[in-house]
Amino acid sequence: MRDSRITRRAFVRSASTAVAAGAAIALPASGAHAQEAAAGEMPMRKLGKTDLMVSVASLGSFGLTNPGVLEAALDAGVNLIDTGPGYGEGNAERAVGQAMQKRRDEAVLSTKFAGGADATKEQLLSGLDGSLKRLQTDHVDIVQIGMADPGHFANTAFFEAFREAKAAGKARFMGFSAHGDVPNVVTEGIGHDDVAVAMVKYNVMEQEGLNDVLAKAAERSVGVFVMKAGAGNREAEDRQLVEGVDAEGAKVRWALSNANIASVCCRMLSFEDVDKFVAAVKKPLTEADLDFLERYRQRFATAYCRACGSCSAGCPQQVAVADIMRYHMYFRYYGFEKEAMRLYAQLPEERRAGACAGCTGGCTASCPYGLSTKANMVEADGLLTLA
Amino acid sequence: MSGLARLLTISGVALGVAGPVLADGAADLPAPIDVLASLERIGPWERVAPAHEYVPDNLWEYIDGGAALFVSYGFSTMATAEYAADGIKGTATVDLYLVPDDLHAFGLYSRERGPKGIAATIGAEAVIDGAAARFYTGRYYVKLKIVPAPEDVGAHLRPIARAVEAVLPGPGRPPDILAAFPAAGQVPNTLQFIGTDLLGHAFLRSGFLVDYDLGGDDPARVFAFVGDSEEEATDAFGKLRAFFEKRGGPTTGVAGLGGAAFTGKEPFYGPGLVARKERIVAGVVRAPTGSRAAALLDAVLQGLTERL
Repeated sequence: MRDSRITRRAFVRSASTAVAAGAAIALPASGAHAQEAAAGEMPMRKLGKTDLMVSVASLGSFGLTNPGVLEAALDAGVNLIDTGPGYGEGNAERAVGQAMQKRRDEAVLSTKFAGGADATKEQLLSGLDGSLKRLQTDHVDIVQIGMADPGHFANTAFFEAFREAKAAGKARFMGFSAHGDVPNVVTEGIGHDDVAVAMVKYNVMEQEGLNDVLAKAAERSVGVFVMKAGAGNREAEDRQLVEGVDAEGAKVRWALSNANIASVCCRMLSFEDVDKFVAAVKKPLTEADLDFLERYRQRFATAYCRACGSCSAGCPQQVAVADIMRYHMYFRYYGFEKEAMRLYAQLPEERRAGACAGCTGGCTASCPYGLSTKANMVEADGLLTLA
Repeated sequence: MSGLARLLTISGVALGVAGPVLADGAADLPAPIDVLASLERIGPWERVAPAHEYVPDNLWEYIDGGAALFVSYGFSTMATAEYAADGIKGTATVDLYLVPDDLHAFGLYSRERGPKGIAATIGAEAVIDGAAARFYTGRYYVKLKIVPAPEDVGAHLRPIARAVEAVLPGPGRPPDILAAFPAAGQVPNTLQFIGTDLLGHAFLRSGFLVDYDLGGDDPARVFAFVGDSEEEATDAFGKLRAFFEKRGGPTTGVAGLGGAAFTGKEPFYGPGLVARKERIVAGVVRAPTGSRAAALLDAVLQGLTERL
């Protein structure tokens, strides 16, 4: 079985594989740390081959209701603002636009094309015009293919639309965002010459395999900023885990310890959020941070099924392992007892987990994340079976 | 239990905890996946594949970063299904969310409706905006769209929306607390229930925003927070005043409005009037000078007090 446990030493190594000399957020134990900025100032990093210097903490605008929060972020040196037409059906862009009326030249604005993998050039350009209107600007710095997958990259309309928008002065750089299958999407996306920026999910629970593709992105000078660094933010489930620890700050600092990452997109919906994340990125990554991250990972590793489906492929008995893992999660972590049992009862008898207790556990062996899948199957059968 | 939660319980609305709903022991509400599974055909529209279900951990697979908004309103499960009709252009997509209570359903609805939506008589409240329709009823928030839009798309959206409404338990009326905000002068489609960080302040937790035409260049914005206690409201009021003073300049006390009130400058919105009355902290920002803002705020405080 592949040992997917990451030791604290491996954490440090994996987090700093591409740290360049003089650019690291080093541990205090090293004696001194190099910062990208003077003390107290917001550290900035170059976004790949673009001419954009971006704040290492960026603002995610979904849910933004008070444009004053965005202004406060700008005041604190946060300049990369990410939004999208689908966030609150355009309301997030409207809120950002209210702040952009007077402060557009201080912001690096990133939004997304409105359209699925089969969108036409005309639909994409029309959607971009709608975004520009809501954002109260004549251009965005970055326009992304949102939730990109290979189907998007195969549609030349995205690239045609970007080139036309660029020629018209409406968009300066093209990028994509990736939540799922990130390594493959990034590998695909950075192969396109038009792509200058990638926004990817990256956190302490899901960074395996990503450091290599982020290094490849860096080789091609594609700038990367990351999202979902909070890794589920499950610390509320275990108060002891976070006593005396800056949990959210640790996760952000850990992500930034990878020099191939220019910025971490943070949820900033309140003035308190702005203060918290701005302060967090001005501190060095510490031993205490790494200790916490290791404990967090160990604590939630068995509760964090990534739904990759590898377990089903490893089952010798055709049990619907991945589905049952999901129903198990519904029952244990979401309180959907009735729904979980109903779904389980709908499975044909031969696809349920009744015989898993006596099995060798091919599902456990197949899980790339070290989950005790067989044990979960046995437990699930007990929990989900109607008496 | 939050102040708003207590209000909803007093008013007889079944209240689920924020988050998981199906196991809360309340009325046996149909899960969204079951609702859509029962709707194989709606008039000429036939479901093209089984409905798909999402939960907070994986909603991003469906709607990217927009998922965070729904998670913040405590949705527990949602389902989506697509429909097609012979001879009618476009695919109709129905998204159905189950949330803790009707106020949160209104909250999601209010956060997603655009400023130019046209009201429709479906559920507790509905708008049709281009090729999309949104409504809420009881603990359900529904959004549907037809893409690409056929001619007279509204004529197709309404029957689909009504068919979904027909299989959802109500009540099909807005939460009573919304009536606390005077109708006169209210800018349409601006009343919102904000689930977190009202006005950008963590200490205001959740509450209401709504715009009014008070004769200024821009609409005035009213906000209202209901605390769990007078102590919490007093603390929030103090923090808000400190914020005004730190970022906007000196404030001035005002007599005769609530239990305490001040005027000052909100750093983004400009002139503001803020008052505390019992468990309520409310204010008017972007407020023109004159008595209209004070009268409006007084009416809001009165309306909320009557319903607590």
